[in-house]
Order: sequence, then C-alpha cells, then structure tokens
Amino acid sequence: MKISGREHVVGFMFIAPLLILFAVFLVYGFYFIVHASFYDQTLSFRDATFVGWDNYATALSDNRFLRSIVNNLAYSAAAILISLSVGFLLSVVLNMGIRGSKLLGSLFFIPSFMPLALIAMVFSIMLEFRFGTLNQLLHGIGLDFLAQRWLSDPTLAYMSVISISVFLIGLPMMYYNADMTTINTGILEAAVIDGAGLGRMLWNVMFPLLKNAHKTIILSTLLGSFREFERVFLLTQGGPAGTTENSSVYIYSFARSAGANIGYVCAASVIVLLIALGISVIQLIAYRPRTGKGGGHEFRSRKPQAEENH
Amino acid sequence: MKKPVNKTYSLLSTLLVFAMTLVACGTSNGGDKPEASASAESDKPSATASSEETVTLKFWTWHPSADLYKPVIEKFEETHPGIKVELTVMESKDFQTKMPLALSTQENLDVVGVQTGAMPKQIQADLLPLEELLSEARPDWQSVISENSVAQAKSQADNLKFLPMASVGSMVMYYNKDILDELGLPAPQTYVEWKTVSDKLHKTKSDKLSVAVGGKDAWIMDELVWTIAGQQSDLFNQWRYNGKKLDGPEFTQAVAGFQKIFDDGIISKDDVLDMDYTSSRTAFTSGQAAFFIQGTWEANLLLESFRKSNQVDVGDVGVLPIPAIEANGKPSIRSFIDLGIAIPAHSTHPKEAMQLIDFLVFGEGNDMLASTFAFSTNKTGFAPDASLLTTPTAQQSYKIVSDLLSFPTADRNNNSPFSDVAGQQLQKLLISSQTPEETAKSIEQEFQTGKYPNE
Repeated sequence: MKISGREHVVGFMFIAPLLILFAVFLVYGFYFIVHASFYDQTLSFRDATFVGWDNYATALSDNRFLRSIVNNLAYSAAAILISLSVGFLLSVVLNMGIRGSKLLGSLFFIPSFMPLALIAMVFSIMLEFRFGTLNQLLHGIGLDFLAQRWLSDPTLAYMSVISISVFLIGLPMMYYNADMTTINTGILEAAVIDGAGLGRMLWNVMFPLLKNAHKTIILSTLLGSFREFERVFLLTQGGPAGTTENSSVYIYSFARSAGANIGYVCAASVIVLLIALGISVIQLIAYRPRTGKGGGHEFRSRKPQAEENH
Repeated sequence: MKKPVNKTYSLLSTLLVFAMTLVACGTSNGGDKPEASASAESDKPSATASSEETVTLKFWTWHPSADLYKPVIEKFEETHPGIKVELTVMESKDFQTKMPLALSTQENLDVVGVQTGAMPKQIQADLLPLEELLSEARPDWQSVISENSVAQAKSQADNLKFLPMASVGSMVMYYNKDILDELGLPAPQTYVEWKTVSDKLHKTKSDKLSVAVGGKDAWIMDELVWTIAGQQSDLFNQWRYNGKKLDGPEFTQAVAGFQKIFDDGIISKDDVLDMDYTSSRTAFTSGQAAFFIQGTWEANLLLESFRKSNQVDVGDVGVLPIPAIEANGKPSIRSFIDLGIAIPAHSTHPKEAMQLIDFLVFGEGNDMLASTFAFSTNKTGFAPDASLLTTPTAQQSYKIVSDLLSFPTADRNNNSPFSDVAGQQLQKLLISSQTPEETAKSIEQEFQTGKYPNE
C-alpha cells in the first residue's frame, strides 16, 4: 500500500509532540552537556571560561574516575553472573511446577518492585560493624568470628555492594520465564528420552535455548550499570576511600559541592555517555535481525530437525 | 469507509501540546519580568504590602532545622502583619546545588541562606547589595554585630551581599557526662586523659563506644585533620589564602596526629568507618558513646530542654576541644561566619525581605535561634538566658564554646569540593599501609590537578 504525501504529513503531526519533547529534553540536554564540558563554570553558569579539551584531559588522567568506570563494569559483571546462574536456576526450578512455586516466584520478585534506595538504606543499617543487625545476630548466636567490617573493609564493602544483586534477580527471572514459554516442550521430551540427566538438561539443553534471555539480561545490566547510583551511594558513599565508587557516584560527588566546576562534571558525563553508547551499538548489532534465517528462537530452526529425528 | 483525518484538528492539537510544553518549562515567576542588574533591582519600588495585601516571602535555607525556625517565623509574622514567610529548609548538600540553580533560573525567591566558602562568589551576581537597604532598615546595624563578622562577610563577595546570622566552628568533642561519671573519670583535658577514658572503657568490657564520629563521611575526616593542624598553627589560612603546600612537615604532622588517635585505639576505625554523620550522632544521643566529634552547630545538645524534646538519652552533656595530640599543641578549633542570609536580585519584595533579614540577624529572631544553641550569634552583647543552662557542665561548656569561637586558630572557610577528596585519602590512610607522608603528598597532588581551586 502506497502512503500519500498528505498521509505522511498527518503521520508526522501525530508524532510531533513526542518529537518536540525528545528534542527539548534529550537532544538539547545532550547538546547542553557537551557544550558545557568545554567550559570552566559553576552551577550558576556565569562567567564561564572556555578551556577546550582540558576538562576531558583532567577526567581521563584521574585514576579515581577511571577506577569508577572499572567498578561499573565489575558490578555489572557480577550482576550478570548472579543473574545467569542463580536467576537461571531458580527460574527453571520454579517452572518445574513444584508446590508453592508461584509464592516463591513472587517472593523473589518483590525486591525488584521495591525502590533500590530503600534496599540500600536497609542494608547500610544492617551491615554496620558496631550496631548493625547482622553482626549483632552473629554475636548473639556465638559466631563472633564471622562478624566483619562489611562496609569499611575495601574487599568486603565491594562484596556487600555486589551482594545486593542477589536480591534483584526478580527481573532476570522474569526474562527467563518469558523466554521459557516459547520453548518447544518436544525438545525437552526428546532430551529426556535420550537419557539426559538434570545437569545435562540444564546446561546442554535449557541454557542454550534461553540465549535471547541471556542477551537481554547481559546488555540491560551493562547499560543499567552506568545509570546506577543509589546502591553504591546509600550503602558505602563510594567508600571506604573511594574503593567502591562507580561513575554516577563520582560525578555526583563533584556536582554537589558549592563552587564545583560543572564543566568538569559534564566532561566526565560525556565520557560515560560515550561508553554507554558504545555498549548500545553492540546491543543493536547483537539484536540485528538475521536475514534468511527467519529470525526467532534458535530452537525453532532446530525444531524440524528434532522432529525428523523422532 | 475511510474516515478522512481532520487536518485542522491535528494541527490544533499539536499546537496545544507544544504550548503546554512551553508553559511547563517556563519560570515560576511567569518569566515576564525583564532582567535587571542587582543595583537597579535594589532601587525599584517594592511590591509592598498595602494594609489589605499580604506579601509572601519565599525563604530557602539549610540550617537550623524547620522545627527550630517555626516559632521564629511565627513571631516574625506576628510582629510584621502583612508579611508571611514560606520557609523551605533543605539538606546542606542539596541546598548547595538547588539554590544556585534556582537563582540562575530566576526562581521566585525573596530570601536565601548563603553558605560561606565557595558559594558567595558563585552566586553574588544574583544577589542584591545590602548596604543601602540596610541603612534604611537599621541605620545603626554595624554596632549590633561584631566588626569581625562584617569584615569576613565582605571578604567573601564583592560588596556586602549577605549578612551572617552566626559563626560556627569545628571540630569539638561532646561528652556524655553520665558515662564519665560511671567510669569515675573527669572530662579529658589532655590526650593522655582522653586515652585513659578509652582504655578504661575497653578494660571494663563496656558495650559503649569510646568516640562516635562519622568516618564514612569523607568531609568529617578532613575537618578532623584540620582541627588537629590548628592545634599547631594557622596552616589552614596559609594554604587557603597564601598558597602554602600540603606536602610539607606541618600538614604531614597533622595527618600523623590523626592516625595516632586511631592507632592508640581512642577512636576505633572498625567502629566508625561505616558510620555517617547521622548514625554517629544517633550513637551518642542514644547513650551508646562516650564522645561525639562534630561542629559547634550541635551545641544544642547542651540544653536539657532540647535533649528532652528530642529523645536524647543522655542526662548531662558537655563540650571540650579535642585534646592536643602533640605535647606542644594547643586545643583549638577553626571558626568562621556562617548561615549567611541574602536577598536574590530578582526578589519582588526586597524591602519586606530586608525586614526578615533584620529580624533574623539583628532582631528577636536571632536571639530566639541563638537561645537554641544551634549556632553562636555574631550579635554583640548577647547572653543566653541563664536558666537554659541547667547544669554546671552545661554552663562551663557554653563558656568553652564561646571562647573557642572567639579565638580560633584559623578560619573555617572550607573548600568543600576538595574536603570530600582529601577526606578519602585520610580514610585510605586508615585502611591501608599508606604513610602520613604519602597521604599528605597524595592530597597535595590531587589539589594540584586544579579541579578544586582555592577561590
């Protein structure tokens, strides 16, 4: 069906409000950050001095900034690992139809509904060395040797930040659940008939079949890590000594002090944005429809073969 | 049948959405007021309240708390009929970002708090010069507050752009008299006495913490090391105003002194490095700690009435300077004017705003707030109601705080962005094998990056 020129105009008019909002809040916002990144200026945006690439050079030579980006990647790597292991296993087990699976599924999903700031605050109070409930519980049951400096020892603080990912597996589980509904049960039945045990079923059959869910989890977690703020800020404030700081906390800590150079904050933001854009490009390539294969789940292309074998 | 799309309706709905977007993005004061320079604004006739008309002043600040301001604002409204005050008290760091942005976007504000340090220079173009309005409202104003506080205010910005409500200093040490009495020990005047209290707490296997301090907040660690530096010299002023380097022997000694307090077990790094300001304060106010290190803005803990109304579980609280770490040191603090108060250049009610400032800086409002001990006023001749200080400890402590604020070693004119970063290096000193020399060098090296100029 050919669309007339007039219909094109009408179509554009329908999406014009969204385009205007997009231009005002996103394009202009991006322009503003890039423009400001070449100036030395405060939050009052007066008396700005053009400094060229200086802010970028300063950011890229700051080990603290570079470490914060590495921390982003480390946190997302840990979150991916937890999602792809614990999240995957729990999803499969709960999908086996065991008694109370719906209730358990809801319990695992509840933390994903809760504000992350609230979870981080609760953990922050629980994990305090002296007055935290975790250490008090350990002392109470005679396990004093297990009471640790969860938030002030650099390694343990790192682990504490990561451990919150365990409570956020609800979303990955949802991706797995959605993807599992598309699996042809014939494949699973065939595997059982062929004598596959539980381990082989999980690792050699289910895990490859849920490839699309893995991709979604990996890329959304990676991109999300560059937006993540509350978990680190409210749990450790990036400490001790900046060891757990991620890029959001780094940028925020600069922006929130009176007299801070907002141009520098913008330059650091642009660098982070470019890294996130790079990851988005990877995402686009990974999701590019493959012409000639019909797209869709890999098991679908295998389905005829599986049926042929039986 | 295909229904034709009405082009006119589509166009109108698009324009409507566009117009709504523009309205939503407009300034809250309508955006129709022409920009004017600060001086021109001061000359314009105020939209003064007539006898029937009530003027509402929008006032943003960060300290003291809204609870403490409430009776003060009520008193102002009672004594100034026709003027209402809409007060917003924000958390300090939020205030540092929101208020300058609000001024630069011409938010409809009439009175704003001003933090000393980097803020006055940052926002001075958006503030009215006050001298003319002041001479109209209170011709004798210079005789009401200390000369030094006016000089400090003028040094912070070109012309007099704000008036300081008070001076504050840091860090001091609040002590729980009940715990010291239980231990049979006096309030420590020297480092050795301080250590004795800590050692005895450990020996008695008390569940009480020796010192509560917000080690998780990097700026608190920075304040602590500058207080220790102040026991020897005015190094802070030399660094802040004269370009003295921080990798020299004086600052290194201060860092070593800071480390010594932790190494000697007076402050337990295990206990405090995951405590922030709030949790350290809670540890003290719930009777769980013998000492609490913070600024003089917490001096309202001395008041029995405040303790009772705020569920502070300590019978008697006193204040001391942090004992000198080195034998030749002198216990002292840094202090500076604070709680500045100013009129934005775009205020539509500058004269009424000046009346509020007059009330809060020179008038009854200042007396009321000073009587809560939330700050130490710059008003000359102010003496708190003696009945407020109900114990000998409180009476003695009030005098100690007043003396410390009157004779500081250096200015507490902080470089806030750098304070957070320097504090991180001090945390690193405590959790790694980094030496005081290396710490001082790292701090100086970070300062030299130029990200935190001493302006």
